[in-house]
Amino acid sequence: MDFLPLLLTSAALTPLVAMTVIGGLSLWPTMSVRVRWRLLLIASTLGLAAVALALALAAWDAPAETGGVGLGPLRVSVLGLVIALLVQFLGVVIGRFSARYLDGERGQKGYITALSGTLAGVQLLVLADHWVLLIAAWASVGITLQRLLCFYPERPFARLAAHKKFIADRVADVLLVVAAIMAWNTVGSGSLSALWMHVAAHGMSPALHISALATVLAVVLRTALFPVHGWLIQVMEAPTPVSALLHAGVLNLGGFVLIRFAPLLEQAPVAQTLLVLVGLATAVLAGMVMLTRISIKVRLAWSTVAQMGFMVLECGLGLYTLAVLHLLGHSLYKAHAFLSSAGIVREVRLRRLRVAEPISALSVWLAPVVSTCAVAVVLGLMNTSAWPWWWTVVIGLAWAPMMWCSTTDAAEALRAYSWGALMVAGLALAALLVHQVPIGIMDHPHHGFGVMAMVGMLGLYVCLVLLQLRPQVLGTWRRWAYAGFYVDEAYTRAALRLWPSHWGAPPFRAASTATESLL
Amino acid sequence: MSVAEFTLRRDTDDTAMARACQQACDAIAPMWPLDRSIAVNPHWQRIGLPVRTVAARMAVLAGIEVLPPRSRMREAWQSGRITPADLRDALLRSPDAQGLTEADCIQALDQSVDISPLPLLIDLLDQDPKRHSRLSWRQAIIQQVSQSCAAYFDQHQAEWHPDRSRGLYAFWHEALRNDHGIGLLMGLPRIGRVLSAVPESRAAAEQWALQRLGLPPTVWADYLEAVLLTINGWASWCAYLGWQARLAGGEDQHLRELLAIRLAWGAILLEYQRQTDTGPAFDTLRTAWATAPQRLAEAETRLVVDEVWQSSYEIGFQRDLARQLSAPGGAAGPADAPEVQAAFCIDVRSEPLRRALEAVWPAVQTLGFAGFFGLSIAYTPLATTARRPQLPGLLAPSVEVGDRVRMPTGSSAAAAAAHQQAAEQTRLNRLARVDQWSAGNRWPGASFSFVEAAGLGYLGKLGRWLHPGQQGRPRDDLAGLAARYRMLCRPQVQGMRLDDKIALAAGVLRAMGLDRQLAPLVLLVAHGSQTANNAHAASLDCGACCGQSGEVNARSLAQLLNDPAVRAGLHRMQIHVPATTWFLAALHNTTTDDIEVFDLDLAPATALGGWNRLAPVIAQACDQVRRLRAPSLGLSPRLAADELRVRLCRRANDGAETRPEWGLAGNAAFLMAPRWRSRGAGLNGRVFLHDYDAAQDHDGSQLELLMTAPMVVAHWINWQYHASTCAPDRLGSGNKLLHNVVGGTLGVFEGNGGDLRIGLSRQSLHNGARWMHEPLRLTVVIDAPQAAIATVIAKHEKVRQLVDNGWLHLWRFEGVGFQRYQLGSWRTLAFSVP
Repeated sequence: MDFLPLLLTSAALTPLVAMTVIGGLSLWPTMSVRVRWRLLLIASTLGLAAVALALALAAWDAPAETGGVGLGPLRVSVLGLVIALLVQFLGVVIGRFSARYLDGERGQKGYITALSGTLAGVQLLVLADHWVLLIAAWASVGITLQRLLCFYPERPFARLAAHKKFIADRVADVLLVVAAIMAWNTVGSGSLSALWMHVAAHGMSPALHISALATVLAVVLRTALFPVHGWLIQVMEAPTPVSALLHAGVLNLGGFVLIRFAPLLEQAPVAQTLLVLVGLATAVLAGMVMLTRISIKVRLAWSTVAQMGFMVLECGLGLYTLAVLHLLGHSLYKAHAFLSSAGIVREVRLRRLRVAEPISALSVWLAPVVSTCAVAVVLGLMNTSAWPWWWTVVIGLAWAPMMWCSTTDAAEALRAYSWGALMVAGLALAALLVHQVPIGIMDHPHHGFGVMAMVGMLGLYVCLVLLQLRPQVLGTWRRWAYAGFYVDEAYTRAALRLWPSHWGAPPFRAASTATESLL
Repeated sequence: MSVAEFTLRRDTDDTAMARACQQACDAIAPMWPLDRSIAVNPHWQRIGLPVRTVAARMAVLAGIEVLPPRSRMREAWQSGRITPADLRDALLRSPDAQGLTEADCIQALDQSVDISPLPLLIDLLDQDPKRHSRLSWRQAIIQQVSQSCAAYFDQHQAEWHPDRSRGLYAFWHEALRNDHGIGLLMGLPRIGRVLSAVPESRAAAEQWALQRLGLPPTVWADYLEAVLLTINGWASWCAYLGWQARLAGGEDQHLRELLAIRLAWGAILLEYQRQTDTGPAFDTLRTAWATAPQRLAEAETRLVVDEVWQSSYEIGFQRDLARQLSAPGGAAGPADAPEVQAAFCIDVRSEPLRRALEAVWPAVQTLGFAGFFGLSIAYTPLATTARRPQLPGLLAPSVEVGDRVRMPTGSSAAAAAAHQQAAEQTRLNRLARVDQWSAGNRWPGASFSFVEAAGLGYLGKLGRWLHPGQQGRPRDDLAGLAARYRMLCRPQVQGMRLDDKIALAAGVLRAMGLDRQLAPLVLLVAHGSQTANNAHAASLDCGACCGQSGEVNARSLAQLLNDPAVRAGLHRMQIHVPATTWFLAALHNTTTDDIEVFDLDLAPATALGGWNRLAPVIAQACDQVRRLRAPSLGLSPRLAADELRVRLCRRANDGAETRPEWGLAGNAAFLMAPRWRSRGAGLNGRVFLHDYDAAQDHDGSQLELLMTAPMVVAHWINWQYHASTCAPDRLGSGNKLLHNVVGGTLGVFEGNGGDLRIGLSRQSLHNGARWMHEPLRLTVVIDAPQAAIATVIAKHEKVRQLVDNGWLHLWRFEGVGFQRYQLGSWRTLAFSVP
């Protein structure tokens, strides 16, 4: 083996090893919590540096362009390294945050172990090139995370959420095993690279279609999409940094797996249709629900559900580069949003400095046109077609609210539009630039689905417009949205019926004694 | 019974029900929103009853502990914090403890109080075998009511609001009738039929539910209070709305509506289960509540021991307090003509700084005064409508303060107006742009694509969590203002006639004792905290300024008192402010113990000279205070001065820090006396200090003001800390790590949901290893004649209740010792020898 690939793989493996070692410190019970935190910080920073090095090497080295460097059941790819870098960075930030935040809490040792265990699991997952490793790594992430989610085991809602997640995870495991058996049987090997080559050479078979479908369903379960999103909303029962880790570093692995499985999914129209439908429905519905939430963390959680729906939609549409950008951007954004969630009080105070006035009807209809034009102009000036035309419309609709204005004064409105157009153009430019970064994946846009997604996003925009102009029209719709469309209640009930768990609070103290004495 | 008789009886029943409902509602104290979170005694509405009676009621009605838990007292006893002498004195002073021996009390420490709460209807329906694998009804109902309240009261979190124009009850009623969630979740498919029977109006619901309960009218009010206590957080929020409405001369019905909602839930379940079998539950309820009066009386007897321990705990502290105050430590007395006078807030955090300042430079005279400096103001930042009160929560603002752009060198009126307008316009524009930009992650759709384009920008923000910076306090009131105007934008009193300004200034100066012998430099030191990512930041700010920093009050007062026209008017009123005297506003940053001064650019050269002499003194004093505080924050007091300051700054800016400072933890006494009474005494930051000179208060009006306003504010703070320590799960806000802010500013949930939480978090009171606050009732020490104090007590019912019902201790100086007030008479304070 050449020196370069050796260095590359060992650098890529460093975080996995480092986090496993820290996780293994639990075998050494006498070590103080302070020392453990320090070691966690050192090890995770070391891992971060190593991944950064690996990514630099991979970007520079040619083999990476063509699917990466293989090492038995592991494969080092640029995409995998990018995700590894992201998660390791989050690990460093969240670890450092937690060390101060959890000061004085019981169970810190277990927390450190579970946190490093989760990070190790993610690091393994991004390197996995074999069904067994993939399934095992993903399951291990869920299991270590479970311990973090139940950091306060005495809280019944924490246990309920963990129970619901546990069920979703196990079903996902079964689905992945089915997917693996089908593929393995067809290909004759558990290697994922072998699967891609098989699909490229021989096309699909019914077994592979089933495999693709099962994989997609497993992703839906693991990514907390509609209608199995309920546990994600309820995990506010764990310390804030756990939410940050979950929402930013773990949930989005579904997106990573979808992008890795692109060679298979590209050939599986049923699975892909499912992705588009579930993704679009989740993005639109959860997006609406988010607007009705009255507490910051629950709002953030619904926002994650919607964002995950959108990421999965992008995967279904074949816009893989955008999906990766989304994965990265959302993770960073959401980690920060959770960690700073207590700052909402100050944010509201700042927001209140400005009076909210009703938005003018003209601006809500004019805004998407101007905004779409702004994006199109940027694309034209850069002379690129990074994404299809319908996506330009989706983006234009998305950023139109930046141009909503309440004023009727023409000069003031013009200023608002100009600034808005400038902001939209700036964002489009930023998106284009990061889109150009070579991460070794190819887009395969599906125009039929694309138009569908565009119409879906248009529907969402119309809802937002109605909300601004005629909120009373949406009265019933809001009630349903506030109730989360009752999906989770049904899921909770079904979960407990199928797989009962003792999780309720102890019965009321006085009531029981009183009844006993009286009966 | 004739028809007339029947109608009459029904009418009296109706009014009796309404009265019981109102009585229950009147027992709930208000809670202020997070951005104005001032401390409140959660039992404020119950102070008409003795502490022990309230403790018994809380225990029986809701399982809430009011007196310190016995485990805590056992620790204090075993560690020697409570000595046998303390216990002996407590027994001697307690009229109800006859027959109780020291041995009895010590033995009781190992037993539980054993007062079980009376059951509510919703608890009794939870006896089925499946109760472990579903929500309990109590949880489910609290959740439903809490979520309805949040949706109804939220102003700042959701973007999509329901129609709330018809009131809370109607809102809940409509939501419930269209709701499918709770039936689905609890497995009650036919609950819809019962829900449609719920009355449409609040009054009808009260009757409907109370009639179904079939409890004797004598226990109605108690039962209803118990019902409200299950949803105490939202009840407290509704009580706040009522409080604000009353300050504005109106009425507010939200609390009654909340009670009707919560009551209706019991009746709904009863109706639903009537189809199955509610016989036993129903009987249990009636039997249990029929004994309520006995249960309450019994509980009160059992709690005698706990009250004795509470007193012993306090006596242990008071012994030391009395010693400190009767022998003021050796510090030199104030100079006859002080070079600097510095007025601080009465806040307990001012005490160590004042002590240090006086020790470093005896020519500094310090004063204690309520931190709003007597200005009952509401402040509106420049070019905004974000008006907010800056005065104690007991009062309504009467003066408006706004920002003026003012150059250090005089400029023409036209130029000043132009500057003012330019500053306003740039701010409006900038805020509008910020608003536009923030639309990018506010709306779904927008945020999807926004994170793709701008998500990498959050790398930097995340990186900042790794190493917090050293920047100073953020100035949120200046947000969006162009840099060139930030220094020039100064708050000042607005829309007041000169005569009124003069009267205001005169009143404040007299109250502060600054109407004579003014030093060349008078510092008005407000205080504020500096924390990051802290939902409860306001609770560390000035309670007398409604949970804001006192900056606006200090600056606008300084501006007022430096105004030549006002000074001329004061002169006519025989208050002579020397031309050489300058009032300088300052702010004590209680997190980093820094002092920052404002508007120095307006000061004349003489004042600047004075400030230049004072600045190093302040720096040294601040350093001393930081060293005092360092160990409690886990820092070494031996660090170099700069290093220690930097560490504290980083802590203040650290969003992961749940204990940036200890706020008013440890508060235990309130001294209203001239400074010489306490000068040099080491009071460990546990004492509120208010200057009061009885010799200058001929008509007793100052004393009356002190005992009805600052004393009440201090009592509120004291009892908020007390209650949050003794009942952290019910009257405290729980674990900061799980806090989830509701409605932007309304309050917090702990975790997913449940009731809104009131009070202080565990992290504000406990350092992870031990409690940082001792739950002691305030010892108020007044330097005034018996008669003057008696007059105030006789005149003000609330004050009488506070002192007679044991909500605080009242002492006065008498010769070289003290007298303590007990049930209308003064006794010489004496401690037995340990």
